[in-house]
Amino acid sequence: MLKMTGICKAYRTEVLEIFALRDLSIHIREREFIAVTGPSGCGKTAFLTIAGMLESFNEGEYELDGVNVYRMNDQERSWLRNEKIGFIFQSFNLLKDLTVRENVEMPLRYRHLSVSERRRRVESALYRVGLSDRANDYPEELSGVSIKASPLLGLLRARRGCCWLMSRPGIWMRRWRSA
Amino acid sequence: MAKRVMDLLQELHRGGATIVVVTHSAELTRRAEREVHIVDGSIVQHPLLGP
Repeated sequence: MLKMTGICKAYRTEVLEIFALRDLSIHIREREFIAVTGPSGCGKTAFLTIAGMLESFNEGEYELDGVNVYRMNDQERSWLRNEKIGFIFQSFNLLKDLTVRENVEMPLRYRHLSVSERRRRVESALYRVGLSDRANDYPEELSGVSIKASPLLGLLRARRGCCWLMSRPGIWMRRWRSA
Repeated sequence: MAKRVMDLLQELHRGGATIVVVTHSAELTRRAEREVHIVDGSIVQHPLLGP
């Protein structure tokens, strides 16, 4: 599913070069459930953003689902990201000018799905987290009980064969509990 | 850790998804099939043995 070989990522300024990743190699098979651990600043987030093709790298090879990511152009990369990758990061990244339903629907709009299939998936996902009756609200209007489910909007973008990249779900679980 | 969220993660996994989760939670790490430990930008395969 995801294979990195000798990945190096450095952030350079005029006077110094800081390595976020040094010669990192990993092979994650399809359907694996992997916990990435390590001390703060060890490169976990750099690994996740490169795995999600949100950032480039300086050296090494990265294959996602058998495709060499380095050789792709932006458009091909966006397509692959949309098709294969799901993100759940510490911030929810909801678009405030779109309703809850439209937020859930957004990533599906970039795929070749029929309108009815898209609607079916969106409604089923909303139902699963108990947000069916709040689908027409805007993110800011979610409050009380409903706000507790908002981190789960990321999870709603579920699809088979997808690779989910998540950053510290414990943090939003705590927020969820205390909301 | 919220059971409902944990259950959803496992449901996703059972449904055929690959899951890569950055975490500081020992409980979540135990539930994963494999732990990948990163130190100083590289992967250390055996976290208990140290770098």
